Amino acid sequence: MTEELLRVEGLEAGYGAYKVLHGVSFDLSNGQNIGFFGPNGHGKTTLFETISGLIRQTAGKIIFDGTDITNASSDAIVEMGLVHVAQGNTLFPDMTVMEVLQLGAFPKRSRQKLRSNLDRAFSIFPRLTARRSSKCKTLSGGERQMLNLATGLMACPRLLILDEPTLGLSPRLKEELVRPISDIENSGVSLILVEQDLEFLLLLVQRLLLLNHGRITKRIDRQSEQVSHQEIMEEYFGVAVTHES
Amino acid sequence: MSLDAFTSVLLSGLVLSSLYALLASGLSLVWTTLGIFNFAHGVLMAVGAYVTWQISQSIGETYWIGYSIALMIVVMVMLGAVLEYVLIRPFYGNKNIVLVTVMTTLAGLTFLENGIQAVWGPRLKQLPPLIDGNISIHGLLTLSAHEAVIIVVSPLILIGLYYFLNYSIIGKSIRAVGQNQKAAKLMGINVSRSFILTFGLAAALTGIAGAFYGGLRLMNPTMGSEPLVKALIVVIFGGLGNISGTIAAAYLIGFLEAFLIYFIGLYWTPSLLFLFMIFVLIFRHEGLFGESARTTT
Ligand SMILES: Nc1ncnc2c1ncn2[C@@H]1O[C@H](COP(=O)(O)OP(=O)(O)O)[C@@H](O)[C@H]1O
Ligand SMILES: [Mg+2]
Repeated sequence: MTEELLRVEGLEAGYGAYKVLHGVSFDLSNGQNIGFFGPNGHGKTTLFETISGLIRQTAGKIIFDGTDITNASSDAIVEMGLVHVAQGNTLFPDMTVMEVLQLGAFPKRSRQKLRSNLDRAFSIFPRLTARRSSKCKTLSGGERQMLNLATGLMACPRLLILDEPTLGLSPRLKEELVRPISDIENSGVSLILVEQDLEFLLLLVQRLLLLNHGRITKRIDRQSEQVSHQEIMEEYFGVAVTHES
Repeated sequence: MSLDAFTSVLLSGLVLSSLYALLASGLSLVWTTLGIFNFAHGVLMAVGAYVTWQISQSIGETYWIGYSIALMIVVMVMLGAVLEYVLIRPFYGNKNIVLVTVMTTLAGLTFLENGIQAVWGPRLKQLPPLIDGNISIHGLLTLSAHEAVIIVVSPLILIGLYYFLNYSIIGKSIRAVGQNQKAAKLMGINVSRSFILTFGLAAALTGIAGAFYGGLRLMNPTMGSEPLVKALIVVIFGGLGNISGTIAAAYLIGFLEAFLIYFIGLYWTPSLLFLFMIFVLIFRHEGLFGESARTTT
């Protein structure tokens, strides 16, 4: 029997009078990973910022590990182990890599594991080792993204939400992120991965949800249905896509 | 200028600098963390002095004034927290928060000033010195022991503040909130708690400056208004958002002021300090010790 980790029911949220999410429901079991994709501006970031308590929902429910977190504060949510690595997070410009990692272990549940988590972060992202005393604002886009992921890991997450970790990265740098993210999956942390890059997504998750105009319009389980990349692309773009190269 | 005059100017410069540094570091901390200027910051200096006086009256003047100062610090931390809650908190998320809080903190300033007047009356008061007597070094320079304590203890407090902000996890979380609130929240940092803590800390630093000052000169409800202007100069001059720059600038301005007073007198000194600041800002937009101005948001 799989134990439920996250359940989202009929979630609605937006910015003032502008509604972005129109009733989003999905769930996730412990140890399971899912991928979210969908065109730009259709509410992926809004969805996860609502789940992590940055934006208040106007309707619906969020249950994490059996606890209703619908109205919980963002720090209480992190403390429970739901950790969100935000899209394009520039972190703290005037702090060093080391300081940011230490702050990643701010939640009480992770403070005791500071040392071992630091070792783990540096072993997953060896590039950060050389940059440990550099300020964030001097990092390259790729390094900053690695620091973002590493900082998320410092909090001892039970569920890690990665919002477009490859945004703005070159194909080579994207490839460099596949290994660490699959390492994170293998370490037993559940993952929600948001990506525009379907190829990248398909390397890492089996279950896909398509968010379209603030609604989940397609659910694909690649383990039960044999859905090809081609079919997903067609679904995504609404037209047949021929593969070149 | 005789050696005697020189050392006495130097000493008064050191005393001024120490008080400015205490005052300005709190102002700077609030600016960096919350992004607002607290115009009620100066009056907190008077509040600190009067509260210390009240406590020392209540527990009895036979006790060393240091105990009253310690209790005053507790009161100031709480008062700072209350001020944040009443004057700033309702306006988070308001696009015009900087302007709105100019108004609310100015309101806080008048309330506190009138409050002091109402509670303690207009009669002038003075605090006893931290240590009695004078110190004389080789007969060359003489200063009161109280001034010596100010000169020695203030830097120690500031070093403590520096270590707290840079090496403790709570201090780091305060800096984090100042640099990126959203990222701080996502790391589990309670942003409102950081704001309250920052305000409390700033109020305590200012209260200490007030208690030091109250042992030096006569106290009155507006004793903090001129120092606030100086602290503002110091903070802008030192480079916004940079505590070590603020502290360095406090000492520079303090000495400059002491020498200006000696050479040209009290009358023109404030105007010249302003001119000096404007002149520096023309050539260094980011202040004397600031790094290049933020390019984004
Ligand atoms: N802070 C904001 N204020 C107002 N509207 C916003 C804000 N952030 C995003 N939006 C709008 O909400 C919609 C969804 O955006 P977002 O959740 O970022 O989508 P996605 O992550 O899928 O690209 C877009 O129309 C966007 O313009
Ligand atoms: Mg997004």
